[in-house]
Amino acid sequence: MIEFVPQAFAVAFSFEVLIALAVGTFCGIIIGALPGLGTVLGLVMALPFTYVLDPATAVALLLAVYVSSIYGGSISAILINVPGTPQSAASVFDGYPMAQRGDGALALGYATIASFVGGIFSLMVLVMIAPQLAKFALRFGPIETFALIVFALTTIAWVSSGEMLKGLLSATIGLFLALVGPDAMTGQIRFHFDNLFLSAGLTVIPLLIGFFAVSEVLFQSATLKDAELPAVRSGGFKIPPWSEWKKRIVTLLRSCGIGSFIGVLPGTGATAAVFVAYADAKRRAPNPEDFGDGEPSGLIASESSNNAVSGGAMVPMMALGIPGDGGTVVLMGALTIHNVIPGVRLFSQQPDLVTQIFVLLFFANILMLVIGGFGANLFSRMLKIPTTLLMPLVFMMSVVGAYAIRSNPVDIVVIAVFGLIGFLLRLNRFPPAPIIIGFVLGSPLEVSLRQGLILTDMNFLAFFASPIALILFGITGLILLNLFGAGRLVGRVFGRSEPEA
Amino acid sequence: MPKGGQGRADLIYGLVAAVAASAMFAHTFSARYSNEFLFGDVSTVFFPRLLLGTIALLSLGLAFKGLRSTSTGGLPKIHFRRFALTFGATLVGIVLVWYLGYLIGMPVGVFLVGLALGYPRKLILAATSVAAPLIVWLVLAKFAQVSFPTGTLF
Repeated sequence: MIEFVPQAFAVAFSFEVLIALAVGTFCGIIIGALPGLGTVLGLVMALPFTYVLDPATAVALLLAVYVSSIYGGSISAILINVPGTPQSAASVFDGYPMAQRGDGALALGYATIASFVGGIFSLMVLVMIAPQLAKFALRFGPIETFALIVFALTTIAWVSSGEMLKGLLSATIGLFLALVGPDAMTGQIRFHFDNLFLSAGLTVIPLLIGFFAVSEVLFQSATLKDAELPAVRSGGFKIPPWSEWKKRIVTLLRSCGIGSFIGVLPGTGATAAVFVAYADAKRRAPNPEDFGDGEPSGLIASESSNNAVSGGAMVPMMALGIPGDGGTVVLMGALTIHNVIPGVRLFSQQPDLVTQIFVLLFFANILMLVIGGFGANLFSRMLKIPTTLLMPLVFMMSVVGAYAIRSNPVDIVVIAVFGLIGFLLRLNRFPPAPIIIGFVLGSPLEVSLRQGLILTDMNFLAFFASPIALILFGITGLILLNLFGAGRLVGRVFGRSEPEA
Repeated sequence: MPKGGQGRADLIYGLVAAVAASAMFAHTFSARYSNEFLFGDVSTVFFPRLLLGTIALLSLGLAFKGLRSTSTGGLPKIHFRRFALTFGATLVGIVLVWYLGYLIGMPVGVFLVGLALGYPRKLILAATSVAAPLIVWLVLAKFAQVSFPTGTLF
């Protein structure tokens, strides 16, 4: 793949791609910084702009939004004590106390540089692991593919929700929605109820927009506390001295490692990573009592780990075609629009494009550092825009995004219907990501299962003859045992007392 | 029967999902799919039946969990009036865009959604409602040739 690097740099330095990277970074930071928007919504809002762009420019725009929106969340966490994205939730613990004592610019400096280091670290992980994983996955037949998707969906359902039952139910509903329309193997139309629109099947983009964007507008309308403007602490940007970094370099690198590792696991995502990294940094610090009172190490752990997830989360998406979270689902959907199909064959069939993605991710991180640093004052002023003014614009971009993909006005109705369903599910704490990931994986799961059964003469036990499938089924089984409370049962049998809730 | 909150919500959601999955499961036995002969046992309704059965079981599990729950809290407090107004405004916006097209329908939709959400400064809201859809239309429709709804009445 090394032979494609000069070409990838040439693409990255082209005028359109540089503009897309800069605009994506600028908008991504704003979207991340404004509470209530976030990475997925940012990507969804950027989608319509990518429809007419060539694949490289479209990918550049989306990668820039993806990377910079994760960082953007730290700005509001530091300056108004409200994380702009869930991934920055741990940044309020030390970022805001720093701003309170007048070190807001220094806190933004720590956050920006830590985010940059986290992004570059995870990019290296992506470059090293993804091609090897894709190479290994070339051995996968239908049985292994089936086992892998079942494993991924179970993990996603397990981790993305506090309640696994709801996560599993969400994923299964998503799988079913993918079956509406023509059967991938026979072409017979299913579950269309004589409706012309349903007979063509549902498409991922209107579903995404409905579940993430429209449901967000409705959720905000139902739960918004008040329309008061937040009190914004002074922003600015100040590079922390090297002596301060030197003391915290181990924390920085360890948090990058934690973020990247957790990012590779399907479904775990940045929110889980930041709390693991924060807890680890606090546990190992010589001054754990200072955490929560404005200790820069806490902010470094949080911000480096959440950006380190970005590259890690792209490993299963690019190498296996399995998106690990909402952000990578949108990225995958956008790539598919441009006839770039993430998965096992991407690396062997389009190595030039894969190299471009790596290089663009590198540039997206550099621009995040530059624009984040220079624009800190401007971004802090933007925090004064109230949610009640932002949400109508989210609605507007949702309609534009849904319609533009295939110029079908019915898609606008689809986003309203799935927006309402998404709202009702969110109200009862159903995670939206497993539904969409289930929808994306529904068709490959069905095809792999049916092909596997045909190959084995309907003998499902033969699925366990494959060592790879056996391992994956084994891990899935352990996760499911956890669902049915087997851990507690074992505890009772061996006379261990249950921990108190 | 749980008194309210998370428990009652789980019970209702679980029962609704179980009924819907059962109805769909029954649908897979309709005459529509009876001529399916390709791939024998792994026919076109094989996987849907597996999934619908799983959904029904998981939904019943959720309903049972809700039934056993004694918790009365757990759900976020919702501002029903504002939610109903906002949902109504989004529907009005969509209908207007459908019939009158983006350029007429969207500014009204954006204004109504902002109003329903409770944005207090009407003049700023009105200006944003006109300016934002117009800018997006200029950038996307005029420069990037992205298709926009033109309205079925025109």
